[in-house]
Amino acid sequence: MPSWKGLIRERLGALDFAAERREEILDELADHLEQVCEERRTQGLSEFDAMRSALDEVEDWRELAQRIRFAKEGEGSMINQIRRLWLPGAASLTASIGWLILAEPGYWAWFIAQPLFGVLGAYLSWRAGGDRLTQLAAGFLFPAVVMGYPGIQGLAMWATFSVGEFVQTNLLHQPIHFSPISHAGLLDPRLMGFSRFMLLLTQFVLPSLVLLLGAALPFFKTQKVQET
Amino acid sequence: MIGAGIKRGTAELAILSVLEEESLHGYEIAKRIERQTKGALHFTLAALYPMLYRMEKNRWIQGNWEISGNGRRRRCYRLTSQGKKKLLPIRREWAELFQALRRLTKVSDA
Repeated sequence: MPSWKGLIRERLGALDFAAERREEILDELADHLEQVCEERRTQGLSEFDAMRSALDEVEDWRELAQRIRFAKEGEGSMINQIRRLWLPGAASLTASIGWLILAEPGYWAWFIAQPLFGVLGAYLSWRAGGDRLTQLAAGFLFPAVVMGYPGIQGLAMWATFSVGEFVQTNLLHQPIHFSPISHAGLLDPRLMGFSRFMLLLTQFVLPSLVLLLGAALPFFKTQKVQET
Repeated sequence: MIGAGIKRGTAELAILSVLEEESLHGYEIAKRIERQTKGALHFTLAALYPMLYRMEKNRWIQGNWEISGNGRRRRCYRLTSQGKKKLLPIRREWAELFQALRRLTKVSDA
C-alpha cells in the first residue's frame, strides 16, 4: 500500500500553511484517496491501476493547491496579493536592475540573464501560492514595464506629436513646426522614429520576451511532471 | 457548457443537502451525492475539498476530527445553523430556476 500522504505532499508542493494545518489537509486528502483506491480494488482493478485511477481524481495538483489556499484564506486579500505578486515582482525587478548596475555586464550578458530573473519572480510567486497568471506577471511584468517605460513614453509622445501635426496641417490648415523640439534634437518624429523603434526593440521587446520565457519555464516543467 | 457559477451553486446545494441528513466525511459526501443523484453528479477530490474548505470558511459547515468505526481518524463535516439558513434560499432559487426552465422547454416543445 503506498504512502498516500507522501504522494500527495510530493504533488501538492509547498502548501503555505502552518505545519499542523498542512498536515491535517494532507491527512484528509490521503484518507480520501485511500478510500477511492480501495473502492477501485473491490471493482477488480489491480493495485497499480487502482492507484492510478485514484490519482486521476486530481488533474492538476498545483491548481488544487491553489484552490485550497484560496478556499482557506480567501482569494482577494491584500496580504496575499502582496506576497504573490508585488514582492516577487519587486525581487525580479531588483535582481534585473541590480545585475545591470552592480555587475555592469554589458548589454548581451544582461540580456541573456533576463530569463533567470523571470524564473526568480515566477518561482517566488509560486512559493507564495500565486496562480499561473500571477506567476507570469511577477516574473515578467515588473521588469518589462520599467524597461519599457522610457520607450513607451517616447512612443506615446511621438504619436501625440504626429497626430497633432497631422490635424494642424491637414484639417486646420495651420501647419506647425516642432522647432524647439527639433532644435533640442530630442523628440522630432522625423528624426527619432527609427531610433525609437530600435530602442524599444533592444531595451523592451527582446528583453521582455526572454523574461517571459523565463517566467513561463516552470509551466513547461509542471507539464512534463504531469505527463510522466 | 455549464458555467462556473451554476456548477458552484449546484455543488453547494448538493453538499448542504446531504449534510442536512447527517454528518459525513469527505469521501462519504462524494459517494452519497453520487448515489442519490444516480451518478449524475460526481465529485472528484479536486472538486470536493476546495468547496468544503470554502464552505467551512463561510461557516456553513464545520469539520471535526473523529475516530470512525474501524479506528480511523477522519474529518467529519456537519451543517451549522448558518448553513441551514443558507440552504433554504439556495433551494428556493434552484426550484425557481428549474420551474422556469420547465416552463421554457414546454413552450418550446409546444
